[in-house]
Amino acid sequence: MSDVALDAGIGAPRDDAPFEKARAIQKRADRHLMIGSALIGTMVLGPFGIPSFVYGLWLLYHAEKEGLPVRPALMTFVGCLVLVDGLMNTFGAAIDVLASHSLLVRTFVMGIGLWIDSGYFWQFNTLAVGGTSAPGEKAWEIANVFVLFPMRTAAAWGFLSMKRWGLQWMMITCWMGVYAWVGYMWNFTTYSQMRLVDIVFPVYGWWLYNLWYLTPFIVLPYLYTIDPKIFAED
Amino acid sequence: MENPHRVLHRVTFIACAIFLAVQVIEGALMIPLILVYFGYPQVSMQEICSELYKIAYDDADRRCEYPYPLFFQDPTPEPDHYRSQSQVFGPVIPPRTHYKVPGWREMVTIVEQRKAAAGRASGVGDHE
Repeated sequence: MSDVALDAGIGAPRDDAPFEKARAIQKRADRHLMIGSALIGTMVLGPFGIPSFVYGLWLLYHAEKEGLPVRPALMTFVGCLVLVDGLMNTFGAAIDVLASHSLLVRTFVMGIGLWIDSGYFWQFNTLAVGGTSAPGEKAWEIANVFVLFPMRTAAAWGFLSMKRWGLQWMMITCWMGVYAWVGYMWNFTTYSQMRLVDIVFPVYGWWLYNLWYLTPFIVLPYLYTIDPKIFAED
Repeated sequence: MENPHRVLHRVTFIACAIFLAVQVIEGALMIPLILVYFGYPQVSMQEICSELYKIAYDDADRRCEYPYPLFFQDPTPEPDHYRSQSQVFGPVIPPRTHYKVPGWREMVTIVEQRKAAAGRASGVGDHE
């Protein structure tokens, strides 16, 4: 953003100090947002991520209040939402795929399974690849952990850095997210008798927990209304 | 210039703020919440895990092995060490189908045999 802003008034005498300051604050805030998101995304280290994340937002809020040309708040929120969503699903599902026999993961994943989704409880750790044994669930996990959500995370980072490829990949990976939601939901619903009965919070619990990951559906319309020209081409 | 997408941007902003706040809280606090629900710290994590195992497999003998052996001495999948699973849950997924798969053009003999059997049953001579 600051690159674009710097090029805007060619030839006009101008004080560059606010731009330099804004750029520095932006960089520092983004670093905090990234570290916070990554910690929150691990689930396990989540509580340590909140201070860093909130501090990043606070820096940007105050810079905007001072009138510094930082990235608009809406763009920050959209980028951060996809970033946290991507990281939480990458790490959150990766611990089930790759660390399915650690004590914390067995307790946490089976615990949440007994709460909202028996697919993560019933016959847990009994297939050749550990973790969930729900029909079809493992395939969605692998596809999400190794393809979709790392891509979404990278796209969100590119978007927050105001790169053109970041905007383009946000669109691509958000549409992939729509595809994944439809596929996942149908697989999930098909086996609902096994996944959503005899648990602590059936159906409404699952929705209360998972509703907040419907990000593609709220972000996509917005992405098509912003001008790609404000994003840097490199 | 007036933003022609003002309403959409406003809605997106509010939705993103709410969703982001919930995601951050969930990501940070879900594990502590679940542990507390199941009785941590009075009940240790390993005890919680073992109790969950007992419920999940409906088997009082199951317990959460910890530390789990890093390199499996025995490649047998975990369920095969226990007798109870298909008795308790019915057929496991994926089920073993036990199909008799026909070989190369074996279907011809199968169909012929089936027709012959059907013919014998209904009495071939009756129609003539």
